[in-house]
Amino acid sequence: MLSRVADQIMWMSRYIERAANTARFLEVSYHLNLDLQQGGHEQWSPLVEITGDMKIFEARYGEPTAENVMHFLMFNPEYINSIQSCLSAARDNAKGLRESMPAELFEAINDLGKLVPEAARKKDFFHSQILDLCRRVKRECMMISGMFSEIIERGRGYHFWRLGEFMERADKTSRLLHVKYFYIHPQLTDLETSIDDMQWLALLLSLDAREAYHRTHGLIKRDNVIHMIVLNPAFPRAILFCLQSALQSLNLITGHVQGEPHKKLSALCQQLESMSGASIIETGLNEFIEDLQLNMNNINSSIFDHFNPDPTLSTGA
Amino acid sequence: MTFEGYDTGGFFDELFDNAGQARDCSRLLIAAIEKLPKGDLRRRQEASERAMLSMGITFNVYGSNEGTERAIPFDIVPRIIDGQEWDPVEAGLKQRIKAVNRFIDDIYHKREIIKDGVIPEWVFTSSKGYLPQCQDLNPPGGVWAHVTGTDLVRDENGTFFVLEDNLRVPSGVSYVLLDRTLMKRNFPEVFHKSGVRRVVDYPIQFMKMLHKLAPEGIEKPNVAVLTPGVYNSAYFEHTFLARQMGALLVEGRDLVYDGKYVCARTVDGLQRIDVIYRRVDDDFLDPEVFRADSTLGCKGMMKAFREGHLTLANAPGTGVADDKVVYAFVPDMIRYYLGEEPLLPNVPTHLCIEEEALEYTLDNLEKLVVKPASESGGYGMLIGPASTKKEREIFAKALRANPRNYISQPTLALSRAPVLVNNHFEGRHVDLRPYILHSGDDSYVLPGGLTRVALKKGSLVVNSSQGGGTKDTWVVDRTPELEEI
Repeated sequence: MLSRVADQIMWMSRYIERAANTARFLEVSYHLNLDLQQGGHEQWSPLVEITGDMKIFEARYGEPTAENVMHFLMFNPEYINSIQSCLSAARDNAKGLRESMPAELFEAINDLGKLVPEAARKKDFFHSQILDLCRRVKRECMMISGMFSEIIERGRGYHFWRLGEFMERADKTSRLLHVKYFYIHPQLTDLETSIDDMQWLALLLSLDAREAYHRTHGLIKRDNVIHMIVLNPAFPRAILFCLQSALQSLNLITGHVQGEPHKKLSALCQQLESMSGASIIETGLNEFIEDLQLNMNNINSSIFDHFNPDPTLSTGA
Repeated sequence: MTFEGYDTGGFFDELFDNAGQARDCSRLLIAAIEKLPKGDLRRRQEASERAMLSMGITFNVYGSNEGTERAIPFDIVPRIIDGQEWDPVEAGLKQRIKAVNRFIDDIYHKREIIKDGVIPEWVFTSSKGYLPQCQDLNPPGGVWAHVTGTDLVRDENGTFFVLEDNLRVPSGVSYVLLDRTLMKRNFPEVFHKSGVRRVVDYPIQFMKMLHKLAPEGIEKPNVAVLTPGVYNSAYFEHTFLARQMGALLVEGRDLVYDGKYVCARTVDGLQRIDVIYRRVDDDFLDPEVFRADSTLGCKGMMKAFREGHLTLANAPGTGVADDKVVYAFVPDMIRYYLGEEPLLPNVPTHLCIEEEALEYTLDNLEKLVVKPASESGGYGMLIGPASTKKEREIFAKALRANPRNYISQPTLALSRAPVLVNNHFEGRHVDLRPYILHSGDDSYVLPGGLTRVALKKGSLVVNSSQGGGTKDTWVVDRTPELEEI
């Protein structure tokens, strides 16, 4: 398999996963803010904070109002991580892979790439349009991931897809958790109050984890929520689950050849396996997340290096 | 669905004779269409077009915004050629491509045809496709033009003429294969009874030819199709051919030169590539030798080619013969290299660089077709009878300024074929592009080829970039009695 093709598959799945996560997050935050309006606790800037692209936002929009933030994250074609940009990038990658993809899968990704720009042309109430789009993007992305499970042979292409998907999801879940840090930071007095509970709940909701959480842990408790979304090895959006799945796919791609990315990824999994919700709080949530993200970025570049042979090092085989 | 009232308009019609009777080869089809209930053919046509769109058979229109992907229009009435009429055409094409390959090899070596005074030297030195960098290159088997798409037209008597030879990177063959798939679905009975020559094995023939012309000593060559990428107007065809041939589809950025071989970067490391079917123009193949700013090819490619570690199809430099002035000399090449009389005639051609021809052309602009010598895609030509005075004036100026760059030909009464227009049939002008695979001692000619049809009423321009469509082309060997269907 060409290195470029492997890369394109990973990016295609990453972009789709990224769009879906932003959609999840936007939808849940919107509802949360509706409830927080009362008492003036509505906050939109954390949504931009977690993208890490606050500067780009401020330069283009200024104030983080609801409309500005929603437009930025959903429609802005110049912002590479907006939902529209992600889906259109996924579509471009799919075009480059067309010859090796079942027609139905290509058509689904192709259509999804057109969804947001087409909606943007319709005159509709902005808020309801955004909410409707969030739901549809989330659903369509899950459907495409499902199609992969249903119709793609378990070869390298499949596992590169999963690798991209899980690395992206682990990163996005960590960013979601990070937003909680941004929420609580300016409002320490709200700690352990009902607003705090609502924010943790919103976090669980955006991961579709509410039911699973209540079943396992009962009432909302900070340490338990952190365990659920970071360390739970059975919940498919938890960071540990994602990293373990990524490692599995990585191993299946290379057979028994172990390289840098294998080593780093399995070390990170082991580190997380030894932690608890309480020990994460002890480290400090912000420090833990920043460290984790650094680690994952590192793994991503190792993956790239591993699968993109340097012509100066090898000869024709 | 009836052909009643269909008017051949005094042109040679591919399916009907001058008296309006179906030709022997098309009788079965006409009878089958006439039995269809009204509206049925239209529905089939629409279903076929939808199938093309959903298969993603689209081309990008240059000069318009992203997202302007269109399906090439497809007409459901096939063009039919009698096998006995086809055989001499096939022989003529083989003869022609053999001579052209000899010519290119000669030009890049001893230039005997020039020394012997058969062709003047300026003809090739002024050809845009001539590459001095290719002097003394020896592509395997002496083959330069592996794939050729030669455009044929028929005049009012039905005689086939060669209009031009597309020797660089001819496109369109994927439409032949796809149109055929659709037509087999639409007319299985007629198809079955007519003995239509198959086109489905073209990708296999292609792969066999590439294997045969791989660098010496390579038993199982690694074959790649080199595409400029997803934004190229023919990208669909590149992916289609790669998939059908079982070749790797690569872009320039996938390739590296390791000092000896061109290799593809794969997840397992570098993989040697032995044969490249390239759909990238000469100029962009190797930034070290040609355009330095090209990212579509790979540095070192020409070195690997020169040293015999890589086969390039078509070989760089082949374009020297893809020039409408050089074209005019092909009959002379056939006589010179093969000692044979040409089996397929050229369209009479005036070379504007010759003073007499230039004067004649300028005096008769409203009757002639004037073409730039090295453009393709139907761009930049003047069709005299359909031109305005202003257009003729602009062309007259351009002709005087750069006569080498132009040729003129009589406006031919191109043959026509019926196309479906709403719920009736009308005649439209067609041409034919057969594809020839040349492997040195032998050639394979795709039976029939791509029929392009000028869908605009009265138009003579068949290029897809200029509003043309396609038709399936059947070369049939049996014309059974009517009652069988």
